[in-house]
Amino acid sequence: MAAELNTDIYTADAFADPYTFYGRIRENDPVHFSEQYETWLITRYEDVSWLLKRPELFSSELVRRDSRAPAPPIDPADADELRFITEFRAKEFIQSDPPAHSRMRAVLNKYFSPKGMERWREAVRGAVNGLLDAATAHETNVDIAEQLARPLPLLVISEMLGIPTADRPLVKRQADERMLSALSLQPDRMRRSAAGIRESSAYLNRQIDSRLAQPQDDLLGTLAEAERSGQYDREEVLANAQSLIDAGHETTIQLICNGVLAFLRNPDQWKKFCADPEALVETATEECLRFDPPLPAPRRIAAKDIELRGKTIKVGDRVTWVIAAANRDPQAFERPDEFDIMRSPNRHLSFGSGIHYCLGQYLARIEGQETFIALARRFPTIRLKDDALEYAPIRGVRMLKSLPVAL
Amino acid sequence: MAMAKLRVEVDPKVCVGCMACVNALPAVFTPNHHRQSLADNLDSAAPAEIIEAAEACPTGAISVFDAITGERLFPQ
Repeated sequence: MAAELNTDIYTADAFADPYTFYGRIRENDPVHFSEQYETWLITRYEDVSWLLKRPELFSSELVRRDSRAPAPPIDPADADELRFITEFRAKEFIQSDPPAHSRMRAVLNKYFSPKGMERWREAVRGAVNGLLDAATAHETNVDIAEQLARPLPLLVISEMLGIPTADRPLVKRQADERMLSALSLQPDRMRRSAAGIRESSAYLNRQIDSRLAQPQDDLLGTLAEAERSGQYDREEVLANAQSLIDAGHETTIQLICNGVLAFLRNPDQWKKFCADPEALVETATEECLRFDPPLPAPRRIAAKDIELRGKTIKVGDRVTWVIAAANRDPQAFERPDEFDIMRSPNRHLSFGSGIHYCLGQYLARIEGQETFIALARRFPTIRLKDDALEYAPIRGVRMLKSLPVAL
Repeated sequence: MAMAKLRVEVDPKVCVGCMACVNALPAVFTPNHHRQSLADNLDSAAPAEIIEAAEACPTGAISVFDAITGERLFPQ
């Protein structure tokens, strides 16, 4: 019965196995309202696909339109910091609806196109192999999360943005603090996040000013040019530069970790992959994305009253679209709980769909593909050192704390 | 000088309805009732504009051909 469903999305069980947890909701009450977190949980593939193509019904203006108190609660002394973060993040294109979304995203679409991203494949391959060389110079026991998955995407997005090598640790630290408002469950998260945004904005202001004085052919240069031409204002440049740094690395870390883990827990598939990685890497990477997506349950906010499967979603309601359930929906995928690297077609929803379709999806794919190929070619006997893995107790992102392997 | 005649194909199995092409070139690309893109009125834009809009597609759903020779102009 729906009333008896456990829908506490922040329990250890839900973190450890969101597929059983959300699958139960999908099978029993596919459009479910969680009283505890004041959000609808949309779990069927068909419904999630429909929702994603209806931005006029399901707004992305979460920070602007959702005036409810944050859950879990924040330190009451941080109300001003919450307001600052809300106003800052409202300028991100991922937090915007048309026409602002279309205007801001149009500046970046071509840069992130398949053709544009393919130019980075060689550099990604070099970075993967460089990190593996460093990790295995004196040791065969390696933490894939710490030594490969975390540094790689930050290195790549920093190169794209044109952030000098010496500044990257600073940029990473600012990003880790900034993302706490979205990821952490701790009461001090707004204070720390606001400090991260201010520090990062001060840094990026200097970077943008230097590109306005002397144009550069990098992604910060593209944003600076958008400001010069009047397509962005400075606050939009800062908010979206920070958003690109965050989105450009955090999710790809999880694609690599979750993908490697899926391979290692399915040795028959790893063996098959190692026999011909270049030929199988595209379908294998899509299956990694489907099977254990980096973002299990993103959100929208209802822009109108909406009838869905006999339920009424009211304007202003929070709506969580559960990729972790939709990607395992037996009405959309045969043998949905099997990890099958030959699965085709594989129309998973891990990059969303519709107008907010992940801008960096092609880059993420390249980073995942090159990592899986390098591991298969260089370390086909890779195995898990410890099967008792832990996920970080955070919102939004499915993040392994570590992934120790023997290479 | 006459402009090249183009043929544009949008693969419905690949198009996710992100509207990148619609936003880039609304005179040519419009969404259908499934919210996927259709290319029409190809004479209303220069070939380079059409290829640029195709290039903006994040999923590579759009192919552009020379309508006379059948040569694939994008992706190459």
